[in-house]
Amino acid sequence: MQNSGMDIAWCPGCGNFALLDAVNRVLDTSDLPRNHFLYVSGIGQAAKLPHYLRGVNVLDGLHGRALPAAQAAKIANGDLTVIVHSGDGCMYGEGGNHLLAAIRRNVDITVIVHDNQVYGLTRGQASPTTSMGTTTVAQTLGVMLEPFNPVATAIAMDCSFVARTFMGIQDHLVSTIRAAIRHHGFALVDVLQNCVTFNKVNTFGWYREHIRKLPDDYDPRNRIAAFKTALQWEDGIPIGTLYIHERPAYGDIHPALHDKQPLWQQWTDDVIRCEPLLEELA
Amino acid sequence: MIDSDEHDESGHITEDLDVRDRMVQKRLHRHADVLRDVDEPLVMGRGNVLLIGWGSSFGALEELVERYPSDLRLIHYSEVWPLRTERLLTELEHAGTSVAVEGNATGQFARLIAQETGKQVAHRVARYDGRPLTFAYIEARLRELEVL
Repeated sequence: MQNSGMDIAWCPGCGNFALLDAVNRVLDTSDLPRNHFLYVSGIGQAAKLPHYLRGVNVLDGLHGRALPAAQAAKIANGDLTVIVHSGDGCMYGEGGNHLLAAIRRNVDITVIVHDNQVYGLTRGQASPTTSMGTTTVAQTLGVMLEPFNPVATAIAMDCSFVARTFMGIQDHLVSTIRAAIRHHGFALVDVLQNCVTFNKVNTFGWYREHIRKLPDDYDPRNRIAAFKTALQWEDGIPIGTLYIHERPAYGDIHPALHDKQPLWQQWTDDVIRCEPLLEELA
Repeated sequence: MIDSDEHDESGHITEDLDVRDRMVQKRLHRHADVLRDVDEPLVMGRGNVLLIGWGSSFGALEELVERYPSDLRLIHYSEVWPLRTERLLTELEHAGTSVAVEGNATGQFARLIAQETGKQVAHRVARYDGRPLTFAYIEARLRELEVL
């Protein structure tokens, strides 16, 4: 088995299993060994995914706060391939502010959002992407807020790589994740996903009916067309690579990082060693 | 493998209740370790009226004690948690009266002292308009309290 040996805490039928398989496929077909990857997550069912991966480095931090840690890790060690996995509640709700700042910074990391339009770990509250009018255990009168549109927001901010995919189509999922990781610069992938236990509206069947692959002549470098595409939802949800704008990443332009020795190698005596402190407090 | 949620030795998240209890106890034990490192409060003056202060009030309080050394005594804290209480208890024991001087409306430090020692500070000088405690402000309030 490819996994870490931990008991998997997801419900049978959870969309996360397909994501776990896809991630393993990407890792197994990568030129890099698994320990060159750092997976960073927040809190939620999605955030558990890195715990189930064998051989990679993992930092599972606070709800909504995967991005500060992920960016910092990449800045400190540009040789790491840094990938964030967390849910729509974590990345678009609790961590929404960090998403905006991270897109602007264009640090070369990949962000995979498990978008199941619900807060699953906490058992069914509406998330930022829940459709208006949906009733939940917490929103008994139906959601009264306009949903957050992550791909349109990202394109509006000129995010370097924006894609949407669906966990029900393995090949599409794998190739989209792979392209996002390969992309140089900040890459956002919104992965539509079912939540078999707590989202009875956006079921696997519902997604299958509503998703539409982008046409073959679609130009992801046309920002206005991409933005229009990103606004489509009711009449069909476009999936694929919506927008690409290649440009230098944060590490290429920052004077302290560009062409310099990696920060983690610049160890000086002034830096406090953590080991004695950890032993004392253990 | 680094984790934030309650986790076991391998770093993986756990819901195990026994691990939870032991980790809470482990974290609580650190209080004693930190208390050993905490600075002692500073004490000055020879007077009978004990002023109790913390943080940025030091300058004003020191000036007051230097002006009225036989009336006032000061015990001043830079580090307030964990709270070092040995010297404070001795000072409260020997003082004629005590005044907590603070930059807040509710007497947070006086309440902390009561919580940690069971002792009530007799009087309070409170400034809560967001501006620094000054020599003049404290002196005027001490006169109103008739301790100076």
